[in-house]
Amino acid sequence: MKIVVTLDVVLAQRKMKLKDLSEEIGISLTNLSLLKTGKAKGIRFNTLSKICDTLNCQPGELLQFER
Amino acid sequence: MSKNKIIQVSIWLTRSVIFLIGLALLLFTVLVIHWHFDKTFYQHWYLKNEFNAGLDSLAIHISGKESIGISLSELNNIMMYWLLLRNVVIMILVVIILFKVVRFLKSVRKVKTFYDENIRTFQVIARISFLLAAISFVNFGTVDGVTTTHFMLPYRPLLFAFGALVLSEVFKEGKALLEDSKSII
Repeated sequence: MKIVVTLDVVLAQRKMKLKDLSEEIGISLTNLSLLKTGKAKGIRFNTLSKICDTLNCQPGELLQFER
Repeated sequence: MSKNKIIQVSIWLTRSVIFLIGLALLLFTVLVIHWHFDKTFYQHWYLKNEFNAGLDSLAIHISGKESIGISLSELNNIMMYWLLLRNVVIMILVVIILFKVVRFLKSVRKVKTFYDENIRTFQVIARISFLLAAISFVNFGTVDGVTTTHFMLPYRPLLFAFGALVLSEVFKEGKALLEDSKSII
């Protein structure tokens, strides 16, 4: 059981690069890369809000639960 | 007072204590050398705690009249060198602990508190304190052919050692929390 981050999918749908998102929300590319590859242990509501606001999506579109 | 000032003052105080211990060590060595050539000069200098075990066995007081304790002029060479050796070892161990404390304080100043180095520092401090406790557990002396042996539970270095061990565990926990916090984006 794990939470999968689908940031890459949403980014591809929006035709946006991770670097651009990083500049937009002010979070380092390294940290966003860790989040995208599922290496991060967690995500703050604040970060999630910024990503959702920039990508115009819901948190559920960024996170999936896998059994 | 800001955090940095407190740390700076602590570092300065610790370094001052290191300097004073070094000075005391030097003075005692000079005293022993002088004593070697002129023992009668020290007939009114008394070893207050005789040969008690513990860390503070080297309390010397000067009195014009007969006083409690053993006069330094009554000591033979072996006992004087034993006193010198025992106290040099104790003081060196205390100085090593103080240097470690300075190193730790510097790391706090650099905001690198919860790191492996500090965990190791506290473990080393604990080991040295246990060694200090073991060394100060026993002391002996021979004056006029009568040998006395003293034992005591050196609670101060033991408490310090346990405190350092507990702190090393606290810092381990702190390091784990810091890593957790860093991996939350």
